[in-house]
Amino acid sequence: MQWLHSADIFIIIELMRRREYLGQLELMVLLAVLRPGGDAYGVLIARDIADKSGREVALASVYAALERLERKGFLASSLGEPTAERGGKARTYFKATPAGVREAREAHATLVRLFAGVPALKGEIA
Amino acid sequence: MTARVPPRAATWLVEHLGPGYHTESLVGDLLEEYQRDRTRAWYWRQAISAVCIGRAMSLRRSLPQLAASALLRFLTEAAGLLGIIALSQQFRHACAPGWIPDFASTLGLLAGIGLCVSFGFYISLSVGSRFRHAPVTRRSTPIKRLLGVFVLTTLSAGTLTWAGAAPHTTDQCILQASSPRDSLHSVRHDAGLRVPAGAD
Repeated sequence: MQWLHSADIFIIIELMRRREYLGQLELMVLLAVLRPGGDAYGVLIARDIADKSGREVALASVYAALERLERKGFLASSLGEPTAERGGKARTYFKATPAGVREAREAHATLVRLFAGVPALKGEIA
Repeated sequence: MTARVPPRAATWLVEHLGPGYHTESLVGDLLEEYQRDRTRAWYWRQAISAVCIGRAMSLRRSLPQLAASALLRFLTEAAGLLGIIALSQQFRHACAPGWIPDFASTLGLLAGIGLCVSFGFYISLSVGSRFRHAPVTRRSTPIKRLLGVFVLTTLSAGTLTWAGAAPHTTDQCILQASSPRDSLHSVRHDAGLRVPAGAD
Protein backbone atom coordinates (compact mmCIF):
# COMPACT_ATOMS: atom_id res chain seq x y z
CA MET A 1 0.00 0.00 0.00
CA GLN A 2 1.36 3.35 -0.96
CA TRP A 3 1.14 6.09 1.63
CA LEU A 4 0.72 9.74 0.89
CA HIS A 5 3.61 12.04 1.65
CA SER A 6 2.84 15.05 3.83
CA ALA A 7 3.66 17.35 0.88
CA ASP A 8 0.95 15.65 -1.23
CA ILE A 9 -1.72 16.94 1.16
CA PHE A 10 -0.86 20.53 0.24
CA ILE A 11 -0.97 19.71 -3.48
CA ILE A 12 -4.41 18.11 -3.07
CA ILE A 13 -5.70 21.12 -1.11
CA GLU A 14 -4.32 23.47 -3.75
CA LEU A 15 -6.01 21.51 -6.54
CA MET A 16 -9.32 21.48 -4.62
CA ARG A 17 -9.08 25.21 -4.13
CA ARG A 18 -8.38 25.81 -7.80
CA ARG A 19 -11.28 23.66 -9.03
CA GLU A 20 -14.26 25.67 -7.85
CA TYR A 21 -17.67 24.47 -8.96
CA LEU A 22 -20.28 26.95 -10.11
CA GLY A 23 -23.34 27.53 -7.97
CA GLN A 24 -26.80 27.40 -9.54
CA LEU A 25 -27.18 31.16 -9.71
CA GLU A 26 -23.65 31.56 -11.03
CA LEU A 27 -24.36 29.07 -13.80
CA MET A 28 -27.63 30.84 -14.69
CA VAL A 29 -25.85 34.22 -14.77
CA LEU A 30 -23.01 32.82 -16.89
CA LEU A 31 -25.51 31.34 -19.36
CA ALA A 32 -27.44 34.63 -19.49
CA VAL A 33 -24.22 36.46 -20.32
CA LEU A 34 -23.40 33.88 -23.01
CA ARG A 35 -26.77 34.26 -24.73
CA PRO A 36 -26.61 36.10 -28.06
CA GLY A 37 -28.24 39.49 -28.45
CA GLY A 38 -25.72 42.15 -27.62
CA ASP A 39 -23.94 43.23 -24.49
CA ALA A 40 -25.17 41.83 -21.23
CA TYR A 41 -25.65 44.05 -18.20
CA GLY A 42 -27.33 43.69 -14.78
CA VAL A 43 -30.97 44.41 -15.69
CA LEU A 44 -30.90 42.30 -18.87
CA ILE A 45 -29.35 39.35 -17.04
CA ALA A 46 -31.92 39.56 -14.23
CA ARG A 47 -34.80 39.77 -16.74
CA ASP A 48 -33.45 36.82 -18.73
CA ILE A 49 -33.20 34.66 -15.62
CA ALA A 50 -36.69 35.69 -14.51
CA ASP A 51 -38.13 34.88 -17.97
CA LYS A 52 -36.49 31.48 -18.26
CA SER A 53 -36.76 30.27 -14.67
CA GLY A 54 -40.00 31.99 -13.67
CA ARG A 55 -38.33 33.30 -10.51
CA GLU A 56 -37.43 36.90 -9.90
CA VAL A 57 -33.92 37.44 -8.62
CA ALA A 58 -32.69 40.48 -6.73
CA LEU A 59 -30.37 42.66 -8.76
CA ALA A 60 -27.84 42.62 -5.94
CA SER A 61 -27.75 38.81 -6.08
CA VAL A 62 -27.02 39.02 -9.79
CA TYR A 63 -24.18 41.47 -9.09
CA ALA A 64 -22.81 39.25 -6.33
CA ALA A 65 -22.75 36.30 -8.76
CA LEU A 66 -21.17 38.51 -11.43
CA GLU A 67 -18.43 39.50 -9.00
CA ARG A 68 -17.66 35.87 -8.14
CA LEU A 69 -17.59 34.90 -11.81
CA GLU A 70 -15.29 37.80 -12.67
CA ARG A 71 -12.99 36.90 -9.78
CA LYS A 72 -12.80 33.31 -11.04
CA GLY A 73 -11.85 34.64 -14.46
CA PHE A 74 -15.00 33.50 -16.28
CA LEU A 75 -16.22 37.02 -17.08
CA ALA A 76 -14.72 40.35 -18.06
CA SER A 77 -16.43 43.71 -17.48
CA SER A 78 -16.28 47.06 -19.21
CA LEU A 79 -17.89 50.37 -18.32
CA GLY A 80 -20.33 52.00 -20.77
CA GLU A 81 -21.44 55.60 -21.18
CA PRO A 82 -23.70 57.24 -18.57
CA THR A 83 -27.28 57.78 -19.75
CA ALA A 84 -30.00 60.19 -18.61
CA GLU A 85 -32.65 57.49 -18.10
CA ARG A 86 -30.35 55.92 -15.51
CA GLY A 87 -29.80 59.17 -13.64
CA GLY A 88 -26.37 59.66 -15.19
CA LYS A 89 -25.13 56.26 -14.06
CA ALA A 90 -23.07 54.16 -16.45
CA ARG A 91 -23.84 50.57 -17.35
CA THR A 92 -21.32 47.81 -16.78
CA TYR A 93 -21.25 45.32 -19.62
CA PHE A 94 -20.14 41.73 -19.11
CA LYS A 95 -18.58 39.33 -21.55
CA ALA A 96 -17.64 35.68 -21.05
CA THR A 97 -13.97 34.81 -21.32
CA PRO A 98 -12.76 31.61 -23.06
CA ALA A 99 -12.38 30.07 -19.59
CA GLY A 100 -16.02 30.98 -18.87
CA VAL A 101 -17.22 29.34 -22.10
CA ARG A 102 -15.21 26.22 -21.29
CA GLU A 103 -16.62 26.12 -17.75
CA ALA A 104 -20.22 26.44 -19.03
CA ARG A 105 -19.60 23.65 -21.54
CA GLU A 106 -18.14 21.39 -18.85
CA ALA A 107 -21.01 22.14 -16.46
CA HIS A 108 -23.52 21.30 -19.20
CA ALA A 109 -21.77 18.01 -20.04
CA THR A 110 -21.64 17.05 -16.36
CA LEU A 111 -25.32 17.84 -15.83
CA VAL A 112 -26.35 15.90 -18.95
CA ARG A 113 -24.40 12.85 -17.76
CA LEU A 114 -25.89 13.13 -14.28
CA PHE A 115 -29.45 13.53 -15.55
CA ALA A 116 -29.04 10.59 -17.95
CA GLY A 117 -28.33 8.29 -15.05
CA VAL A 118 -31.59 9.01 -13.22
CA PRO A 119 -34.50 6.88 -14.51
CA ALA A 120 -37.07 8.76 -12.44
CA LEU A 121 -36.39 11.94 -14.42
CA LYS A 122 -36.68 10.33 -17.86
CA GLY A 123 -39.17 12.07 -20.14
CA GLU A 124 -40.07 14.70 -17.60
CA ILE A 125 -37.90 17.47 -19.02
CA ALA A 126 -39.60 19.10 -21.99
CA MET B 1 -42.66 62.42 -19.70
CA THR B 2 -41.00 63.09 -16.37
CA ALA B 3 -38.76 60.52 -14.71
CA ARG B 4 -40.02 59.03 -11.46
CA VAL B 5 -37.84 59.68 -8.47
CA PRO B 6 -37.04 56.58 -6.38
CA PRO B 7 -36.83 56.72 -2.56
CA ARG B 8 -33.64 58.61 -1.74
CA ALA B 9 -33.00 56.76 1.50
CA ALA B 10 -33.09 53.41 -0.30
CA THR B 11 -30.63 54.66 -2.91
CA TRP B 12 -28.34 55.96 -0.15
CA LEU B 13 -28.43 52.54 1.53
CA VAL B 14 -27.45 50.77 -1.68
CA GLU B 15 -24.65 53.26 -2.34
CA HIS B 16 -23.15 53.06 1.15
CA LEU B 17 -23.96 49.58 2.43
CA GLY B 18 -24.43 47.61 -0.79
CA PRO B 19 -22.13 44.94 -2.26
CA GLY B 20 -19.53 47.56 -3.26
CA TYR B 21 -19.02 45.94 -6.65
CA HIS B 22 -19.94 48.25 -9.56
CA THR B 23 -22.18 50.20 -7.18
CA GLU B 24 -22.86 52.93 -9.72
CA SER B 25 -24.11 50.38 -12.25
CA LEU B 26 -26.26 48.64 -9.65
CA VAL B 27 -27.92 51.94 -8.68
CA GLY B 28 -28.38 52.79 -12.38
CA ASP B 29 -29.94 49.38 -13.04
CA LEU B 30 -32.34 49.83 -10.12
CA LEU B 31 -33.32 53.26 -11.44
CA GLU B 32 -33.76 51.92 -14.98
CA GLU B 33 -35.99 49.12 -13.73
CA TYR B 34 -37.91 51.52 -11.46
CA GLN B 35 -38.83 53.62 -14.51
CA ARG B 36 -40.62 50.56 -15.94
CA ASP B 37 -43.60 50.94 -13.58
CA ARG B 38 -41.99 49.20 -10.64
CA THR B 39 -43.44 50.10 -7.25
CA ARG B 40 -41.70 51.84 -4.36
CA ALA B 41 -42.06 48.62 -2.35
CA TRP B 42 -40.14 46.77 -5.07
CA TYR B 43 -37.39 49.40 -4.90
CA TRP B 44 -37.16 49.11 -1.12
CA ARG B 45 -37.06 45.30 -1.33
CA GLN B 46 -34.19 45.49 -3.80
CA ALA B 47 -32.35 48.01 -1.61
CA ILE B 48 -32.72 45.91 1.54
CA SER B 49 -31.58 42.74 -0.21
CA ALA B 50 -28.59 44.70 -1.59
CA VAL B 51 -27.64 45.77 1.93
CA CYS B 52 -27.99 42.22 3.29
CA ILE B 53 -25.94 40.75 0.44
CA GLY B 54 -23.34 43.51 0.75
CA ARG B 55 -22.90 43.00 4.48
CA ALA B 56 -22.70 39.22 4.08
CA MET B 57 -20.08 39.55 1.35
CA SER B 58 -18.05 42.00 3.38
CA LEU B 59 -18.20 39.78 6.47
CA ARG B 60 -17.19 36.66 4.54
CA ARG B 61 -14.31 38.54 2.95
CA SER B 62 -12.92 40.01 6.16
CA LEU B 63 -13.81 37.35 8.74
CA PRO B 64 -10.35 35.70 8.97
CA GLN B 65 -8.59 39.05 9.27
CA LEU B 66 -11.09 40.35 11.84
CA ALA B 67 -10.66 37.18 13.88
CA ALA B 68 -6.86 37.55 13.76
CA SER B 69 -7.18 41.20 14.78
CA ALA B 70 -9.46 40.35 17.70
CA LEU B 71 -7.12 37.58 18.88
CA LEU B 72 -4.13 39.90 18.70
CA ARG B 73 -6.01 42.57 20.64
CA PHE B 74 -7.02 40.05 23.29
CA LEU B 75 -3.43 38.82 23.68
CA THR B 76 -2.18 42.41 23.90
CA GLU B 77 -4.73 43.29 26.56
CA ALA B 78 -3.87 40.16 28.54
CA ALA B 79 -0.15 40.93 28.34
CA GLY B 80 -0.75 44.54 29.41
CA LEU B 81 -2.94 43.46 32.30
CA LEU B 82 -0.33 40.96 33.50
CA GLY B 83 2.32 43.68 33.35
CA ILE B 84 0.13 46.03 35.38
CA ILE B 85 -0.58 43.33 37.96
CA ALA B 86 3.16 42.63 38.27
CA LEU B 87 3.87 46.32 38.70
CA SER B 88 1.18 46.74 41.35
CA GLN B 89 2.63 43.73 43.20
CA GLN B 90 5.97 45.54 43.20
CA PHE B 91 4.29 48.57 44.72
CA ARG B 92 2.62 46.44 47.38
CA HIS B 93 6.10 45.55 48.65
CA ALA B 94 7.18 49.15 48.50
CA CYS B 95 7.01 49.49 52.26
CA ALA B 96 8.92 46.29 53.01
CA PRO B 97 12.19 46.91 54.81
CA GLY B 98 15.08 47.67 52.51
CA TRP B 99 12.97 48.41 49.47
CA ILE B 100 12.94 51.99 48.37
CA PRO B 101 10.65 52.77 45.41
CA ASP B 102 12.82 53.72 42.48
CA PHE B 103 11.07 56.38 40.43
CA ALA B 104 13.18 55.85 37.30
CA SER B 105 12.72 52.07 37.15
CA THR B 106 8.98 52.40 37.81
CA LEU B 107 8.69 54.94 35.02
CA GLY B 108 10.73 52.70 32.75
CA LEU B 109 8.51 49.71 33.50
CA LEU B 110 5.37 51.77 32.87
CA ALA B 111 6.77 53.03 29.59
CA GLY B 112 7.69 49.46 28.62
CA ILE B 113 4.17 48.21 29.28
CA GLY B 114 2.73 51.20 27.43
CA LEU B 115 5.01 50.60 24.46
CA CYS B 116 4.27 46.86 24.22
CA VAL B 117 0.51 47.32 24.55
CA SER B 118 0.51 50.27 22.13
CA PHE B 119 2.45 48.29 19.56
CA GLY B 120 0.02 45.38 19.81
CA PHE B 121 -2.98 47.69 19.63
CA TYR B 122 -1.46 49.55 16.71
CA ILE B 123 -0.96 46.36 14.72
CA SER B 124 -4.44 45.05 15.53
CA LEU B 125 -6.04 48.41 14.66
CA SER B 126 -4.10 48.57 11.41
CA VAL B 127 -5.13 45.04 10.48
CA GLY B 128 -8.75 45.76 11.41
CA SER B 129 -9.05 49.09 9.56
CA ARG B 130 -7.31 47.75 6.43
CA PHE B 131 -10.00 45.14 6.00
CA ARG B 132 -12.88 47.37 6.99
CA HIS B 133 -12.14 49.47 3.90
CA ALA B 134 -12.16 52.68 5.95
CA PRO B 135 -11.84 55.81 3.78
CA VAL B 136 -8.31 57.19 3.81
CA THR B 137 -9.47 60.68 4.78
CA ARG B 138 -11.09 59.42 7.99
CA ARG B 139 -8.01 57.52 9.12
CA SER B 140 -5.60 59.27 11.43
CA THR B 141 -1.92 59.07 10.58
CA PRO B 142 -0.07 56.04 12.00
CA ILE B 143 2.13 58.21 14.25
CA LYS B 144 -0.87 60.05 15.71
CA ARG B 145 -2.70 56.77 16.32
CA LEU B 146 0.35 55.18 17.94
CA LEU B 147 0.94 58.21 20.15
CA GLY B 148 -2.73 58.37 21.17
CA VAL B 149 -2.81 54.68 22.10
CA PHE B 150 0.54 55.00 23.91
CA VAL B 151 -0.59 57.94 26.04
CA LEU B 152 -3.90 56.28 26.89
CA THR B 153 -2.27 52.98 27.79
CA THR B 154 0.46 54.51 29.90
CA LEU B 155 -2.00 56.71 31.76
CA SER B 156 -4.37 53.84 32.44
CA ALA B 157 -1.49 51.58 33.48
CA GLY B 158 -0.27 54.26 35.88
CA THR B 159 -3.73 54.80 37.34
CA LEU B 160 -4.34 51.07 37.79
CA THR B 161 -0.95 50.61 39.40
CA TRP B 162 -1.62 53.45 41.78
CA ALA B 163 -5.01 51.99 42.64
CA GLY B 164 -3.45 48.55 43.16
CA ALA B 165 -0.95 49.97 45.61
CA ALA B 166 -3.66 51.77 47.60
CA PRO B 167 -3.26 49.89 50.94
CA HIS B 168 0.16 51.49 51.43
CA THR B 169 -0.13 55.22 51.25
CA THR B 170 2.67 57.34 49.90
CA ASP B 171 3.20 59.01 53.26
CA GLN B 172 3.80 55.68 54.97
CA CYS B 173 6.33 54.70 52.35
CA ILE B 174 8.19 57.95 52.59
CA LEU B 175 8.20 57.84 56.38
CA GLN B 176 9.46 54.29 56.49
CA ALA B 177 12.04 54.79 53.80
CA SER B 178 13.32 58.03 55.23
CA SER B 179 13.96 56.63 58.71
CA PRO B 180 17.82 56.21 58.84
CA ARG B 181 17.67 53.52 61.50
CA ASP B 182 15.36 51.32 59.50
CA SER B 183 17.19 51.77 56.27
CA LEU B 184 20.58 51.06 57.84
CA HIS B 185 19.14 48.07 59.63
CA SER B 186 17.58 46.66 56.51
CA VAL B 187 20.65 47.22 54.33
CA ARG B 188 22.89 45.46 56.83
CA HIS B 189 20.35 42.68 57.23
CA ASP B 190 20.24 42.23 53.46
CA ALA B 191 24.04 42.12 53.30
CA GLY B 192 24.13 39.43 55.99
CA LEU B 193 25.88 41.64 58.55
CA ARG B 194 25.07 41.71 62.20
CA VAL B 195 24.15 45.08 63.55
CA PRO B 196 26.37 45.82 66.55
CA ALA B 197 24.74 47.03 69.69
CA GLY B 198 24.85 50.77 70.00
CA ALA B 199 25.47 51.29 66.29
CA ASP B 200 22.56 53.65 66.18
